[in-house]
Amino acid sequence: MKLKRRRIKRGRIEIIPMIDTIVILLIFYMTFSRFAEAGKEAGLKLPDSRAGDEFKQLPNQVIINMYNKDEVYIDKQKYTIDEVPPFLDHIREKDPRYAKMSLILRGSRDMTYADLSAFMKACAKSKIVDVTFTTSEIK
Amino acid sequence: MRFQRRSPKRGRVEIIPMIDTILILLIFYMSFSTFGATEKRIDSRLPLIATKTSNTPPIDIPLDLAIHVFNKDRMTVNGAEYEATGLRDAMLQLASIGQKATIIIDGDADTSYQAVISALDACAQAHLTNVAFRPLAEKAGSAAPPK
Repeated sequence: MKLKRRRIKRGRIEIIPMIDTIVILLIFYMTFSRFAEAGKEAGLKLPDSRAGDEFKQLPNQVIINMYNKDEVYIDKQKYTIDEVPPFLDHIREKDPRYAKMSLILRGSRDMTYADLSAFMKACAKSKIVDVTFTTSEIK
Repeated sequence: MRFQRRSPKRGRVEIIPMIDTILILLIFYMSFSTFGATEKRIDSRLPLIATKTSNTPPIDIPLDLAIHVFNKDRMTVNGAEYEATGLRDAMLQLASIGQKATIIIDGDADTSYQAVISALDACAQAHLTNVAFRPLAEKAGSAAPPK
């Protein structure tokens, strides 16, 4: 009696289910990923702190990313600290959301008190008193 | 002649390639995801400071505590010297007796921002939120004297 040899099944990549899973995972990650807050400078190293509330940006808050007094970024645009008050006054006049403006300072940990002082003088020029300091949580 | 009807192929979910692709994608996303540091916020209310170029009238803040920050390990509170943890303990003690304090933080021109935030952090941990900063005097390079 002649036995029939079973044919070896060749492995193959299943394209259609792979596309299905890729699309599903893509939708999943797009849904659950936090869209990076606009106006945040990713390369900025914040100072550490233990205290502080969870970071959130209110509609009337403007994020100021500051490396030093000559390097200030607002919405990816570079300014010097002296250019900030006219810019803030301009957007306050243009957008009613910013009528009662407050600032979020994302200052680099390498800044000095002289830079912070220049920032505070800029706040005073724009008559802004509400300032939030952003820090990095100590783990 | 009788034709044999071809049986329709039933669709099925391919489990093994699905597991493969899920694992590959999981590794991919784990590799390329940036482990974001949690950001925190410390709120502060700054006084309106009159500068030489503005016409804003100065607002006097009653001076209860003046913290001068030299660096992270050396700070003075009304002349008494502390380090960051000592300052936090002093602030907690102050808060525990229900003392409301107005705190004015200042520093030298070259004092690091991290040291200033450490002082602010000590106050925030004691829930002392009435904090202001004294800006450096023009061209003097040190904080303006208290009024």
